[in-house]
Amino acid sequence: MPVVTTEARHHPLYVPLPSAPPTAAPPAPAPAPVPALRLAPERLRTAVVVGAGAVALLWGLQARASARLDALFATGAHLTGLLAGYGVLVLLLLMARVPAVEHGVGADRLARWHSRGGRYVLGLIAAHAALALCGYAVHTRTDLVTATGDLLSYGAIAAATAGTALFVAVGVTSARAVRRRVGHETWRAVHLSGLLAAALGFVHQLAGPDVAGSLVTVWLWSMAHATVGVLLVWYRIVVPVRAALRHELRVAEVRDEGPGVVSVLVQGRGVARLRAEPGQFFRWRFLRRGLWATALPFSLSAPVRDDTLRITVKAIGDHTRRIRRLRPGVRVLASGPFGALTAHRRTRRKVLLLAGGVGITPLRALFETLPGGPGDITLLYRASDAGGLVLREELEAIARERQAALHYLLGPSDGSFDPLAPRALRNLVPGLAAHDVYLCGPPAMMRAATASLLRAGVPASRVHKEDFDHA
Amino acid sequence: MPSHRAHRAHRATGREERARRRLAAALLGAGALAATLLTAAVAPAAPPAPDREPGDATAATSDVAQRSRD
Repeated sequence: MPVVTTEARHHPLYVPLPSAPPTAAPPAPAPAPVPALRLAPERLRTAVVVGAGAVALLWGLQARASARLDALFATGAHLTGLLAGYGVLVLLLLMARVPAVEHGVGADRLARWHSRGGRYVLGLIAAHAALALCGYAVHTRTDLVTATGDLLSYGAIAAATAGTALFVAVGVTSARAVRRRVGHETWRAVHLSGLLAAALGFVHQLAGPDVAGSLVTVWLWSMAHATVGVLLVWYRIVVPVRAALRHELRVAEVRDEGPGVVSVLVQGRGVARLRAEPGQFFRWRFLRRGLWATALPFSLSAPVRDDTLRITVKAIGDHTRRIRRLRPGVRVLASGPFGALTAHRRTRRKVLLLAGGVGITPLRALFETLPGGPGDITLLYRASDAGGLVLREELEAIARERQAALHYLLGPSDGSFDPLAPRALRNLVPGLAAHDVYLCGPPAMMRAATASLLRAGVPASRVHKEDFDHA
Repeated sequence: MPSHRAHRAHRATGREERARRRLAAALLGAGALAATLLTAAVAPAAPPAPDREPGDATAATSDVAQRSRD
């Protein structure tokens, strides 16, 4: 029987577990993979800041003091241009899917940094263009329109201007208000044009006086860009294609798990070599009409076993509804694994897994595999009603096998009783503040749960989560 | 004596580490080659940079001389 706290029995939303006969223990999962290399988020942040400092220093060492208006405009243009070029490089690196970065920082955090950084970089590009135009106009004593025409006669600057237009399109379509109205495929196509924009802008950077001043700086600036380009090609094209050829993943079975929810079992060769850890996700592309154009992130809902990967998908849009109609044999491209919601983040013996809705999928895999003795692992599963619980029998079997605590917290999110309130959580999970907490669910639930956990005394550094809206 | 399983795991880790280093070296090497080609082949024209031209506001100019009626 799973461990159940007495106070929980008196909660109006508490759902007691049925005393089902013990089921056979699930087969042992594949042996733990060799630990992946991980770059800590703080180290990456520090490296980015140090890089920006080095770029500013490159400008500072070569800038000359001048009170002339054209010189002031030009020096501002050079600084903003250098920082914008560096910023574009950082944005591309964040999305290069380098495993050490993905596993250490987490896909959702990388996407948030990319999004936030993108706004600053757009601002720097705009400032650079405006300052450069004004500086040129003042220097040549012409009006802005004539100055624009003169500057566009330089091929590299014309290319950079086209690149800027593409960056503006990327920025506009990424704004929340616009993104809601634009289809995902359209948004993605415009966003990918940012790569072309970066290439178009790169050439004119080599002519900037701060870079062009010496062959060494030209080579170093080119090296930084070329390396990011190589990483993008390797990890976003070569690695997924190689994995597809090596592992030959195909749909083996589509299993109904409840209203609107299916599990898709994908089998291949040498799947253990993908080194997927419980809690991680892949970006899945099913090579079937209506599905092949889009790759969506879904977490593994079980550890890798017998060369089989399993995802559990809830139909919430056109794409996920089509996944229900997959047939065995359909070829699958799985890019990954990604994500940092894994066992390596654990720092305490006691762990609380807090799942909402279909966020149960990565936590179900962790519930089965996180090392721990009786009573060390607790799973709280929030859903609006019992019909919304997914993989219930598996969860109960795992809880029985491991003598882990399992509580279902049912009820509407706007009801009078909040099962995720700090006091309710402390009652359900004794010693809550001494736990590591893994959290996954809808964005609103995660925000509310995070706030509650912090108020309940769990340090922020021990609340581990992944937001799939940003993955 | 380390167990057989631990020894195999240790060898696998060593192989993984060597493979990672080879990959990193290959990717950096490809970047360096691309950088060298770019440096050699790309030299775009650029407009003059007013903040890098010789002379500045503190230096005497004919405009300043005329205004001061020198």
